[in-house]
Order: sequence, then structure tokens, then C-alpha cells
Amino acid sequence: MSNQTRSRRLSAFESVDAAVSDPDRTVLRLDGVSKDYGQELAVENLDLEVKEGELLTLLGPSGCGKTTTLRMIAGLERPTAGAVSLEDDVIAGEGIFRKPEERDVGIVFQDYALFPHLSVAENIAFGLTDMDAEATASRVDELLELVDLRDHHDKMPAQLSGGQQQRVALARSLAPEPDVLLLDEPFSNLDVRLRVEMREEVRKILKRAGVTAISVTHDQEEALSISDRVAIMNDGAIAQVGDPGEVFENPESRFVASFLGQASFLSARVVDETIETGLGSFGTHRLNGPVEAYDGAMVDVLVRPDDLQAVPTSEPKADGYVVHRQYNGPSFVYRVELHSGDIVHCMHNHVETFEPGEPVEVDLAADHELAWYPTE
Amino acid sequence: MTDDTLSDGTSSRRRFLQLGGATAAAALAGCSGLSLGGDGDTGPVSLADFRGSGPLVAQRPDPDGPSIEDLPALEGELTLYLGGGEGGLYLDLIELLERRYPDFTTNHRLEASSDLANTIIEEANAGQSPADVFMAVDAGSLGAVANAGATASLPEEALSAVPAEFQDSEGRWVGIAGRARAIPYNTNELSASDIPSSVQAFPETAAFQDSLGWAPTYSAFQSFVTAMRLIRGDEETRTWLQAMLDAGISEYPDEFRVSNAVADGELVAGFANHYYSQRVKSAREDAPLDLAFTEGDAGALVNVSGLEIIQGTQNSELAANFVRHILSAEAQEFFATRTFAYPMIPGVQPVGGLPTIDELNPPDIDLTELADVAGTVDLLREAGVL
Amino acid sequence: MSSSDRFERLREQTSAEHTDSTAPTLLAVVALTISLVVLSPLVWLFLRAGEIAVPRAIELLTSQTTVEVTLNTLALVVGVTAASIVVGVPLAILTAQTDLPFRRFWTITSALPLVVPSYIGAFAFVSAFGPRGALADLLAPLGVEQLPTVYGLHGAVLVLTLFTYPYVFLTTRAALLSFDGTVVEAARSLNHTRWEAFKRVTLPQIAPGIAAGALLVALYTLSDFGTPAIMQYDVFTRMIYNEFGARRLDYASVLSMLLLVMALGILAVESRLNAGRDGAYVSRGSRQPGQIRLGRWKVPALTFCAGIASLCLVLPVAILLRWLVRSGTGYVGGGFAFELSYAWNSVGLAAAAAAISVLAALPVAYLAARSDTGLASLPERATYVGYAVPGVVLGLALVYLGLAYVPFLYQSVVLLVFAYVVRFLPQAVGTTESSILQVDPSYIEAARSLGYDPISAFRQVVLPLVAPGLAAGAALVFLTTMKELPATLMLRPTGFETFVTYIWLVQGAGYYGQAAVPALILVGVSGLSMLVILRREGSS
Repeated sequence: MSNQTRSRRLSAFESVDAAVSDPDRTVLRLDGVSKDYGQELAVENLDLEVKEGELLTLLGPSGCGKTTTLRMIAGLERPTAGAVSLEDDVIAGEGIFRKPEERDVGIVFQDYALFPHLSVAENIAFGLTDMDAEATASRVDELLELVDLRDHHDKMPAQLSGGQQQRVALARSLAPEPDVLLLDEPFSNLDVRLRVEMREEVRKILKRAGVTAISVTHDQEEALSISDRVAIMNDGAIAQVGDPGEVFENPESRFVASFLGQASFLSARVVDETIETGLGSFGTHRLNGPVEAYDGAMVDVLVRPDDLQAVPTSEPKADGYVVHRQYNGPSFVYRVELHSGDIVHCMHNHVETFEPGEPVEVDLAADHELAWYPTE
Repeated sequence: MTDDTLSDGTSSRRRFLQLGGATAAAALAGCSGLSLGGDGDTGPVSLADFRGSGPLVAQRPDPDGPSIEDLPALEGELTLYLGGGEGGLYLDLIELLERRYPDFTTNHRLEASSDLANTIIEEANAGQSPADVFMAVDAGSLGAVANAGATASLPEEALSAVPAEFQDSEGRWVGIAGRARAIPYNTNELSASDIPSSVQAFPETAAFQDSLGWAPTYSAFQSFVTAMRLIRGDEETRTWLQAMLDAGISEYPDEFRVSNAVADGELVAGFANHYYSQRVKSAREDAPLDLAFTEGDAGALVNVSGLEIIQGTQNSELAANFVRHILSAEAQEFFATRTFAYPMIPGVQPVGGLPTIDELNPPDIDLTELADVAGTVDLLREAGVL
Repeated sequence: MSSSDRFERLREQTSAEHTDSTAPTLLAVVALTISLVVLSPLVWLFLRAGEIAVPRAIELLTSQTTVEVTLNTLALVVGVTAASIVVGVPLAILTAQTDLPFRRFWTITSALPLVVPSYIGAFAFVSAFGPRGALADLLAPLGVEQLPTVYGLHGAVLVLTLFTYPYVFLTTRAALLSFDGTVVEAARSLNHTRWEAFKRVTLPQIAPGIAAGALLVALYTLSDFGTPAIMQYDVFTRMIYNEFGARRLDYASVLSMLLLVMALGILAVESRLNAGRDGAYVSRGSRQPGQIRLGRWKVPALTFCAGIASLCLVLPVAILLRWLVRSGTGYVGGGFAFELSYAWNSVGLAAAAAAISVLAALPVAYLAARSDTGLASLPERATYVGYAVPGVVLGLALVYLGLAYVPFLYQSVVLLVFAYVVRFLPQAVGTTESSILQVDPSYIEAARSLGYDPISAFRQVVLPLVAPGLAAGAALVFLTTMKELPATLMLRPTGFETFVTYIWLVQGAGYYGQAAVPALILVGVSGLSMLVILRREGSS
């Protein structure tokens, strides 16, 4: 499944009118961009392309360089090497550096950075410096309409809720029609319920505006749920980029695999057409990709909680025993220590309960090919 | 006022203030009716304006000497640096002159005399002082500016009017009013006969133990010490200073506060210029305060306020004429009756019960030598006073 | 956000300063220039000190008197600073964090003593508590013959403390108001008593605020001449003053340089105590800790507030009124008539000094607030040196330098205002810096992403937000300028009088009654500017 079809599918789901003229056109390009702070390398030789109207999320753990990347696109940091081009113009690199105010790049800050001394309307109008009063007013109304805050025109930022503040921040950065909109940890200041609600809302607004957007987050659920594409970052480089489903199901590296979802690894020995694991033997057809080259060697098979099913039993039939129970509301995730020494997680409906210490048999219930990695 | 206070030499010296104070207060009360405020206020000025009114003044003979009436009119603008403190009183005289001469204005600057001396010297170092005339309340400051070569010559008429001991030997400055060193004492605690006639006896005087005050940072006091050095030498002066410290003398920031402290009974006696006690009395008529004078030593020093013309002035003619006005009979009458100072010309008498300068028996020293304040500060420091 | 993420962001924010190399470089150049201009009068000290022979200078500096006076001065500085903390911090806590009745009122009375010139305050104090003062008169009929002396170290410490502790009060109060109270609750939930929580949590957090005020107190104490003189305590400024009197400017300069070394020492101590300076003077209006209920301590607390207010405000005003009444038959001559123009001159000078100080403080404070390198705060630190220069030293330095290099400005209002800026700039820098620290740096980035260049972004976004801080800084400079005497005397245009030169003139002539009215007006006008400082707390 190509990125393009994926994003179209999402759009279709939400039935928004995407004002995108050419979804294949590259709006933003990073070529071999690096950034170091003295000894410390924050971003290393990073390549990235973002297409028109696309919402791409940089996802990675703290300190992976995603925020630095975002700030280089914004012009708040100057790359040490490489080039950033926007709409085919180089805006950083090759001896050129355009200041933030000289780029058509909008930013929604993590804490929104709404100007506390200006009203909602004044905040939104802030970037509309080359419009006359009338055009400004109508553009402000348009954006208030877009973010559904018509009644808050004259309020001060301090009078708004967190979600409302975020919408104002969105409206403010969208007002001057930026080529690219950057969102820095956009939902981290919201409580959990609002966060989920605002994800949908923000995506809808972005799609309605047809803006090309890059967001940054360390929250995988957020990244997977709102993005057309995600780029997983680690140690200043992009580990994998692709549409959310593909990245989730086929992590190209152990890092990506372990970063997404509650990943466990099952150590396995490849013997001809089978693999021998702590859960028993399986055919190599259940693995993703050819494994012949590893005949006789150990591999690690990625199993997520929904891939496994525990069944109460008694020794000596048991594969291991329950060591921990994590209650997630609708479901339980059990941590099971296998006799082989591996630790795996199994997800169960909340009505199925096991007690810690209980011996269980673990079945591989996955109906998809499992990703695997040579044991290091 | 009784006659014997004027006729009896010693006792008159020691008791003048009770009379002077009372009459001065009355004289001041009379003055308070004066209104000289506004700048545009001009008109004829009479002798009464210079001396004010009141019973004390009414009995005075008319002053004798060159009258303002005989001097050429003052015309133009004069920049005057005016030593502060009691020098502020001189502003009234300046105002009177401005009132008399519609075309005469002064641009005056009031600061402490020693600060102004420093300023003029710095100004002269840097090029040219804006001042035309420097009017200071101590000869030391005048001498310092003169020694820095920042003065111009004074008119002959002015120098000849003033006794030689009250002007610079080279004629670079001239005294305009005398100020005697004195011993203010509290009349509830002491009587005149308790005050020794020589400062050398002070450290041993039982009544003074732990109850004298002085203001060693004050320029007039430093001049007194300088005078003692000139008369008795550094060694003896140091010994005396140390003896005073051993006698538990207290330190004050200025001599008005010393005089006030004496009046309050905080001290039994102190070292101060004579007119500070007049000030205290004018504010508190019944203050138990009187003055004593020592004889022939530094304690009886008569220092002067004086004038000098600043080198390079563009107004030398006006400045010279101004100096002559300040030494006129009327202006001298002003100093005598309104600032309780000693007039500098023979034709004008000191006010009321003040002993005359001859009666005071001041030491015989060249006042310009009082400019050696640095040596005095060193000595005061060595003695542990500063 | 995790802590390492926070770190990444923090590092980026600080390094963002270097992103656009032209603006920060320009800012650094401007700030450095301002600090150099402000320090330029000190050149005169070097010129004059250079005239003294080295052995003589060494002899002077190592003389017993110099050593004694240095120790005296240190004792005074330490004493006043410590006492100001002892008075100012409890008052700040009482007015900011307790249920003290009439807190608003006590806030004002606790800040107001700053407007009383210490030369008036000290004199009033002696008039009241001196050996034959009002109190002695009062107690005499009760058979009390002798009061303990007010003169000496303890008297000087007491008087200086009473009129300078408001610096500590103001900065501590601001730090308390901006302090996140939840951490105190956290500490108490960890079984700390209120006192332990204060010691281990509150105190370390408000320490920079206390230190900022203490710094101003210490430097002011170092530079003050009038109060120790009246309190008969021998300090460094008096030695300098004596050398001026003796017209040995070279000696005076060498001693002044020693004074500056002491000032640098104080600055170094404060810098060390105060690595993360922020919050001084300004409240950020974050969550307030729960109010402390005074309970049975209410009466002692009220007594404390009232006692300080009586000593610092009621007493000087009463003494001034007494002068006024006593001088009924006093002398009102032409030379002593108070003219309204003096008041306007004072207000005009103070307003100009305040405005220019704030303008000069902005780049210096901005650089210091937005960079974390020691180098960037150098200009800010440098501005504090001027605060420790005695007025008379600064005055004469500017007499000479003004004549030598800018003769057309000599004895002009311009040079006088410059002198005020040199002396009082740090007060504006302090308030400005702490208000800039409260402005989220992302505001500037947001404005720039919306098409504003750094300077317009600063004007449109930062300036409106720091305006209250600037106003408070201006007010502090205003009220200290109103009462400044020595530099005013030496540098004012000839014939130009102000409140303080008039008060000095009539006091010098012994007419205290004449001084009372202008002194009362001076205190009143300065009091109004103090309200500006306090009002800001309400608006933020």
C-alpha cells in the first residue's frame, strides 16, 4: 500500500474537502541535514520529503533530535550541514539562511505561545501584516469559523480552555497561509480525554485547510492516529518512514519494533522450515520474509500482546507462568515469564482473569506474518 | 543688655551670647517680614534692608566706610560659586544687590566650600572654570584655589580696605567676614569661669571628661588644627589631639550639631565657630547655651569668609566691582547684623555683645597657610581622630 | 515532557540566540557599550590615582587607619545587609503569605521607608533617640537619666537598615509571589513541618530574590556617607571625603578604588549565591501556596509591622513636623524662599533619569536574561559597580571628564542625568531582567514565524509584557534620584535648584523648619512612585 493511497483512504474516512491541488508534489525537502552543538550531534545526515497537503509526524523518544529538526525547518536553528528547501527554494544550507520571518512556515508551539496581552482575534490577526483592516477582519472570522471559535473573538487567551487555546494557536499560524505548518508536541498540554478529541479535531482542521504539516511527538498513539505518514527518529536519524500501519506492522529494525506498541521478543532457533521457541515450534511461513540464510542460527521474533493468548493449565504442560497483571480498563495485559527465560505479554478481555503465579500455556494467535530480527 | 557686659573685658566675652542670642532672635523676627522672593523684584534698597530692623540694630551707629551709593552700578551677569553652609545666608545679600541693580543678575552655585574649591581646580585643570567669583566660607579653600594658580588679581580698593591679616599676602583673596573659633558651653552645666583660657588645658579639665564634642571632618575645625600646627608644631598638636581622645571627646558631623548637642545637654561644651550658637539661639531662644573664647591660641583663631576672582573670567570688571560692593559699608553691616560675623572694614562694628577682634586676641598667623589641610588630615589620622 | 526532552528544549532555546547571528551580536555590542559608558567615569579614578607615588599609595592602603576603617566598613555592610534580611524577609512573608489583617496597608508601609532620604532619616533618629532627644525628654521625668547611646556601629546599622531594608522586602516579596506554592504542599505532605518546609523548600527558591535586594542594600551601605557620619561611625566614605576636603584627589582616588574592590567582592559573593537569578522584584502570578494562618502570632506580627512603620515613617515625618512647628518665628529671607520650580526640577530630573535608565537597562537586561553564559551577564554585572560609587566621587569625576571631553555638556542637565543613570541603572536592570525572564521565549519565535523581524517581534510582544517591570524599575530609579544629593550638588547647572539642594541649603544654614515642607513633599512624591512599584503586583 503506497503512502498516497493510505492518505486518500484516511481522507475518505473523514470526508473532508482536501484543498490539495497536487498530492504528489514535494513541498519540503531536507537533504543530508545535520546539526551539532559543539561535541554533541543532535541530528545527523537526515533526508526527508514532505508532499503537499500531507501530515507527517516525527516520532521518537526524548532527545532523538525531532524537535531540533522541526526548529531547523522553522529557521529557529541553523543546520550545521545539508540543505532545507521549501517549494523548491533553498531556505537553509548552501550558504543561504532565511530567517524565520522570511519563511512561509507556521508554528504551533507546545505551550501555544499565545500572546497573553492580545485578544483571540488580535492573536489571529498578528501575522496578517500586509492586509488592510477589512481583509484582516474577514480572514480572522474565516479562521475562527474554521476552528469553531466564533463566539470567542474578543476573549483573552487566559479565559480559554486548553483545547480552545490550541485552536487559536492553530488559527493564528494558519492565518498567513504558510507553505508548511509545524506542530511541536501539539497535544502534550492537554488532558487525556481532550487529547483524543483534539487529535481528530486538529486533523480535520488541517485537512480542511489543505495545509502541509509536520508534527513532532513522542506519543506513538498520537502519531499513528493523526498522521498520513510517520517518521520514526532515533539518535538524530530517521529509522523508518512510512504510513502508520506499515510502520507498525513491519518495523524495519528492532528499535522501531520495540518503540511501537508493547513489543516482546521471542528468541527462536531456525531449523529448516521451522522455528523452535519457548512456545513450541512453528513453520517459518509465519515469519515475515525469507529466513533461510539463518538456518541453524537464533532470531528474535516480534510478538505484541494481541498476538498471544494465554490459557490456564498446570505443570508440566505450561510454557511459563504469569508474573504481572496490568489492568487497562477493557483489557488486561499479562506478563508471562516463559520457561525459556523470555518475557512476553498477552492481551485478554477484562473478563478473563489470571492470578500472578498461575501456570499458563501461551498460544501464538497472530493472523499476520511476524517480524523478526537476527539475534545480536 | 546691661552696660557692664560691654565694659568688662573677660566677662563680656563669656557672657555675650545670652544678650546676643535674645537680641538676635528679636532682630531675626524683624527680618522675617522681608520679602525678597521673586526674581523680577527690583527697587530701591536702603540701609535698613541690609541690616534689617529690631531694637539691637536700631541703636547701632550708621556704618562708616565706602558706601554703595558711591560705587559704580553693577551691570551684567555674574557667575558666582558660593560656599555653602552658613554661606547660604550670603544669598540674601546677593538678592539685595540684584534688587538694587535691575541690570545685575547672578548665576549662583551653592556647594560646600571645599567641594567648590575642588571643582574650580578641576575646571581650571581642564581649561576654564565657568565661575567669575568664588565666595568661600574658609580661607583654606580660598588659599587652595589661589595656590592652584586659578585666581586673577583683586581691585586695589578692596585690598586696601581690609586689614592685612584678613587677606592673602599676595592679594589673591580678600576676607569679607570674620568667623571666630569659640567654645559653646551649656550654662546649666558650667559657668564661664569653668572654661580654661587655653585649649592646651582642655584635656586635663575635669568637667570636660567624656563630655566634649568636636567635628573633625568639618573644614573649620581642620583649620583650627592647622592653626595649632602652625603655632605649636605637629608633635605638640598630635599629643594634644590624643589627649583629647583620651578625655573621651565625642565626634559630630558638623559644628552646628556640636552646638545643638551642647544646647541639648548632650555635651557640656564643644569646639565650634561662634555663629552656630547664634543659630541655635535663634531657633530656641531659651537654650542654655553661651560662648567662651580662649586667648591667643588656635582656639581663638579668626578665620574668614572671602572672595577671589577666578582666572580667565570674561567679567573681570563686573567681578571687581562686585568685590567692592561686598566690602561696602552696607554689605559689611549685613554680615555683622545678619550673619553675626565680624565685619572686615574698620568702620563697621560687630553686633551687640560680640567682643571685638582686638578683644579676642587671635593668634598671629597667615590665613593662606590654612590651605595645608592635607598635612592636618594626615596628622588627624595618625592621632587616630580620623 | 520528560526531563531530557526539557533539557533538549532548554538547550535549543539558549542556542537559539545564536541562530540569527546579527541580532544577538548587535544586542551584545549595544549592552557592552552601555556598560562601558556607565563605567567610563571610573577612568578619572585611574587618572588621579596614577598621580600618587606607588610607595605612598601602599603606605596609605596599608596604614592602620585604612585597615581599621576597612574593617569598620565591612562590619557595617555585613551588619546592615544581615539586619535588612532579618527585617525585610519576615515582612515580605507576612504581607505575601499570611492572613495578616490589612495586608495591603502593611505592604505599602513596609516599602515606603525607601523614599525617606537617609540623611533625613538619620537626623530624625538622632533627634528622637539621641542623648537629649525627644525620647530622653519623655523619659526624664520618670527618672531615666541616661539612654544607651545611639551612636556607633549599632546605631549606624539600625538607621541604615531602617531605610534600606525595603530593597530586600520588595525583591523577596516578588520572589514569594512568583513562587509555585505546590512545592511547599509537596514538602508538607512529605512530613515536613511548616518551618522545615520553609527552610528546605521556600528559602532556597526565594534566595535569589533575597540576594538581589541584599546586593542593593550592601552596595548602598558601602557608598553612603551621610548616615555613618551622623551616627558617628567611621567608614570608608568618610576617609574619602576627608581626602577630598584636604584636596588630595590622588589619595581620594586610591581609596575610592579600594572601595570599588569591596564592591566587586560583594558582587562576586552575590553572583555565587545567585546562579539562577530570576524572579526578583516581580511576581509571576503562579499558584499561591496556602495562606499561613497566624493564629496567636497575629498580635506579635501586627506589632512588628507597626513598629517598623513607626520607626521608618512616623518618626521622620513627626520630626519634620516638629521642625516646622518650632520654626514659627524662623527666618524667611529671599535666598531661602522655596520656589515651585525646585519641585519641577526635581521631578523632571528624576523622570528623565528613570526614562533613560529603563532604556539603557533593556538591552543589558535582555542580554543577561536570554543567555546563560557568564560572559553575557558581564555588562549587567558591570552596571552594578556604579551603584557603589559614592556620589561625591562620581560628581568630581564627571566634573573633570565632562570638562575635558564634553565641555558643551558641563554643568548641563544632561551630564547630571547621566550621573543618575550611572548610579541607579542597576535598579532598573534588576527589575527589567526579572520581567524579561518571565516572558516565554517562544513568544518571540511565534512572532517571527508570523513574519516579524526580531526587533518588531520584541516591540510587539515582549515590550507590552515587560512594561510593568519597566515601570517598576523606572519608579525605583525615580525615587532614588529624587533624594540623591552629592552628585546633584556638584553637577547641576549653576543656579539650578532642586528639592534636595534646597533642603541641603537651608539645613546647612540651620533653618530646619524651612527644610520640613520640601522634605515632606519629597517623601510624598516619592511615595507615589512607590505605589507604581507595588501596583504592578496586582496587574500581573
